[in-house]
Amino acid sequence: MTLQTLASDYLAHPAIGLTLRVTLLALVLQLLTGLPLGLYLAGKKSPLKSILEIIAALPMIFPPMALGFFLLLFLGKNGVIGHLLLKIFDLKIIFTSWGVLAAVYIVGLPFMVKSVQAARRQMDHSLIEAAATLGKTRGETLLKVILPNIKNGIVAGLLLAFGRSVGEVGISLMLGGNIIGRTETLSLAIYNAVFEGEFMRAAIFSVILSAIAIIVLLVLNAVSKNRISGLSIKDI
Amino acid sequence: MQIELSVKKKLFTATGEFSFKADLNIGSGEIVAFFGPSGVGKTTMLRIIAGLTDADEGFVKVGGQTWFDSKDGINLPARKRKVGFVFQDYALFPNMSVRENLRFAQPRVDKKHIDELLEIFGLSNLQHRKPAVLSGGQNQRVALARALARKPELLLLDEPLSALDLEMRSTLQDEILHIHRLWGITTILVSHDLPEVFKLCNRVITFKDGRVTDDRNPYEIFARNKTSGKLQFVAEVLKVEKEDVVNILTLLIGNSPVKIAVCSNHQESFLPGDKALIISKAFNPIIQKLNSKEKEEGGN
Repeated sequence: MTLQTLASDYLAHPAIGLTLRVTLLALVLQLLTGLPLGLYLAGKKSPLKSILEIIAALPMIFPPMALGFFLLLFLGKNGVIGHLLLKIFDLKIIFTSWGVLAAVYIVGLPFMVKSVQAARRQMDHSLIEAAATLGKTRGETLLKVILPNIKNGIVAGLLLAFGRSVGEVGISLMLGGNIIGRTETLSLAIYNAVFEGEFMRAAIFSVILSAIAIIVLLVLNAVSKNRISGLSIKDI
Repeated sequence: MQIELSVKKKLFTATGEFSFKADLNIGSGEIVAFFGPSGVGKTTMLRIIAGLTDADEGFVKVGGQTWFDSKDGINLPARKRKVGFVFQDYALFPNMSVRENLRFAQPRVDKKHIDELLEIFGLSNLQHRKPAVLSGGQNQRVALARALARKPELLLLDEPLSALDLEMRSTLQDEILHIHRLWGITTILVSHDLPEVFKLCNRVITFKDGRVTDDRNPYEIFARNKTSGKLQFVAEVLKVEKEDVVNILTLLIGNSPVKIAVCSNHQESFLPGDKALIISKAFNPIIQKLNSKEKEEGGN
């Protein structure tokens, strides 16, 4: 195998682009939705919160294949949500890269929500009271006090969510369909290679996938100034 | 600012449920202690004034302005009440430096005032450090300076010095007094430490079982038995040693430990931790000036 074939067959493989696009976009969506949801759920208990909490934790404990199947029913063109999306936005989810995005977003979200929720609950409540006695609005308190003090929880949540998303197979198989060149993610590419008995190919994809995971982990960790112990670049 | 309040609140504590009720009138510029054992509602009272806890019924008026009135449904949010609140656990923002903690407290940045506060509390050299690397005493100073940074109308101190050692406590008490002389802010201090109350306050409001049981000046409370003594000190018993017919008490007066012999058949027996009033009758005191107040104040 020459360097050229390595580059053309592997490094330029569409599965890499798809995996990067989908997981990074899912990471942004997980941050934008998981952060407010985690903060909301960390507040005083209410019946609505209990229900939301169960829904948010579901993908963590529900068997992926079963969850994938139910999502297929919901998001399919005859499903409740799938039908609406198709009608309003002309958006087809099943067997497109949108399906893969939905899959990796859903499996990673609970990790983001739980991490944010735990970090917020651990935060000293008197800091928020102090901000109030200093004349700060809820918005100012959120930006200047709460977010900086739960930063580690946010970063840990993103790391866990990414880790889960990048390795996702079951639901992306169900919703994306594992179509070579279109909805085949790196994880699925490894699975396909093993299935076809091409162990060398599977090994190279595994190395690439691992490299992506480690790079994202290091980048996220560098973003958080107050590093998670043992994971800092300095420690390596 | 003058404080007028009359509040009722049901409290749930480890010992059960009890109702708390108080009617108080605190004059402008006073420095008052809320005194009493833990769990009697002293801190709750302070939190009600600051707007951190809502009273069940009643009113809180500060400087003629109604901050809370259950009848009219008025409840000014905590952020609109101009108080400086010092929390027992400091509640400093760990993500900000000392200076940033102070700056955050100001609606509009007043650099001069921040510099002045840093100077008063001896924090100028530490201004760029984070609270995590400071000692308890230094953090408490930052908390006090931060509470003063927005130029509050009231200063509310919730057992601010309870976690500090005696020497640091005494230094900070001096600083609180200095601040009070400087700006005359109406100050309420929650405390269960007698010498502290004695040193700082000109009025002590004692709470017991959710009621105000006593409201007097500290001398009247501590010198309950009328004496003709001219010099009085409040002391804490540190050690009791039995020696033949006498007991040797090691007492702490201010920062100095003093040994005093008492008859072992003295009608009151002392135990370490007890508070005692020492009165000296036949006494020829020699007074020496240690520092000159006039010079100090003339500079301000």
